[in-house]
Amino acid sequence: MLDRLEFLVSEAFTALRRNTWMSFAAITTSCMALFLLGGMAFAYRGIAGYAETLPSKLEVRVFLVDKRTDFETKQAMEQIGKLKGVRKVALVTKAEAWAKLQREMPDITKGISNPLPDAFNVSLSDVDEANKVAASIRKMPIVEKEGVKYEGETQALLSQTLTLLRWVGSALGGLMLLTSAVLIYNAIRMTIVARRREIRIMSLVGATRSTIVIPLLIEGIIQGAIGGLIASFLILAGHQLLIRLMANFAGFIRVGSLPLVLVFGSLVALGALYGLICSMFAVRDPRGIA
Amino acid sequence: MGLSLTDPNLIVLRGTLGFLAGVANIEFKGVCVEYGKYVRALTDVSFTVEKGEFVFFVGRTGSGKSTILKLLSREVQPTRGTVSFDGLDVSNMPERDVPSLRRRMGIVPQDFGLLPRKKAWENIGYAMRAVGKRRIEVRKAIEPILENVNLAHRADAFPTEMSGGEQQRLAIARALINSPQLILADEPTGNLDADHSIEIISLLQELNQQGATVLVATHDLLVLEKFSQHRVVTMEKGQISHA
Ligand SMILES: Nc1ncnc2c1ncn2[C@@H]1O[C@H](COP(=O)(O)OP(=O)(O)O)[C@@H](O)[C@H]1O
Ligand SMILES: [Mg+2]
Repeated sequence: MLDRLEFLVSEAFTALRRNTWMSFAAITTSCMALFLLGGMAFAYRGIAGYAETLPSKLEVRVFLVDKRTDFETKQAMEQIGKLKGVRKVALVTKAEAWAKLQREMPDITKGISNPLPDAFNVSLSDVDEANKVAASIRKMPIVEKEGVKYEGETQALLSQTLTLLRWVGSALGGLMLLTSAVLIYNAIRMTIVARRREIRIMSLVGATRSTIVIPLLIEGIIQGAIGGLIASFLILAGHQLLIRLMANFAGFIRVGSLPLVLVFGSLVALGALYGLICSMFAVRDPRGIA
Repeated sequence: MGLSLTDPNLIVLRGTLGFLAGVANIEFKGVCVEYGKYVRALTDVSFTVEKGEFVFFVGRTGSGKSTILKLLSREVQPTRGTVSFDGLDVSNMPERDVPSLRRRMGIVPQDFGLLPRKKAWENIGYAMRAVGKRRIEVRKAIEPILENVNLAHRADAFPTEMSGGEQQRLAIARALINSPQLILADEPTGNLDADHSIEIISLLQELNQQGATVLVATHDLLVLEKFSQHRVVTMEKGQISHA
């Protein structure tokens, strides 16, 4: 068993060595494809994670003036609750809000006293009513000037960024994926041509189809997996670069950490799977194999 | 009644007798082979070969000799008719059974089919590994196989460093890795001078004496003269003209 595996794997490596340039091209493009797709996926994951900490589209944040009575607060809550399109109103005291912020961003909140006002969290049942609801609330005396925040600029920007990322990443990544499919397929076809003597002899002495085909599949798997491995390193490097860049804008944008095992694991596995599929197509084509 | 040797009735009779005797090893029945639409390589070919026979297939280039050998190894399938070997219907067996069929025969291709980057013994070893033999088995088997064809002293030579006769013997050695009951040799003396030709046919004859059925395609008249004791099947334009 091990003996047989050794033969099959060494056949695959011989082919890779004989076929250096084609292998190089196949590995490079599959690497680019996985880098683009993987990079996009992880960037998307990071940004989407950040967006989740922001108020949602269906939420209006209402900041309140300090000078007000409990009765006024209660009355305002009732009034808001009756507005069309409002699902729920909740009071978030400045202490609660500060505690939450401290938990989420410990480095930024450290050593400062609480600058936050009390606020209402107004949940909407209908986004289209947001403008009307905001206008009605803005008129209330206990609401701060400019104290009604909803679907903020950050939120809009983020969702635009996410959309763009999705499109550009999918388009470029898909294109590269297609290119690398053609190249891996070609690399395997070239191997079949380059090794036609060996393949013919194997077939003449009665080697099974799997003995002939498995080395070719292994070759495709190796090409895809190496592409995925290099892509993982590129993503790692890109992430480090991003951290360096963002360090200069020490602000609210924090670059999240990268799940290393997930990055390497998923990209290598995807690459291998991809190489396997491409090479399966290459050996399915009956022309080359006797 | 004039019964010629090519009379179809006689051929059928021989086949039937062979079958009854339980020794018919190879049987072609009404075999036609067409390559594409217009090239007819064989037309209605029928014959039998008994176990342990040594048969020459003779004829001009293009007369269909190689095609006959390739039908047996299932490199070619007939357009019509059947080819059987050892009771197996070679022409209709499923693709997945072909490897085990080929392990029962030793195929010596016309162009030797040696791997130029591998030494003589590696050429044998590679073929053995390809049919699933383990490393240890290979190491043990190579020496006797090379000795069998008088090549033990050339084990470390590359094919390009070997003479035509040596290359041919190496190709025969490779055909022996599965201890075949049937050896198919296509123009084994095609590229050799007279002395080496005789040496190669003698080698095949020895293997025949050890029990293998041997089919040789050739157009080498010198060889036929020298080994006239064996059966000769003459081919002409895809048909058997003399059996
Ligand atoms: N793969 C092929 N494609 C088309 N024609 C072929 C092929 N192989 C053989 N032929 C034709 O079939 C005929 C018989 O060929 P072959 O069996 O090789 O004859 P021989 O071995 O006696 O020279 C020839 O006319 C040859 O040109
Ligand atoms: Mg021929």
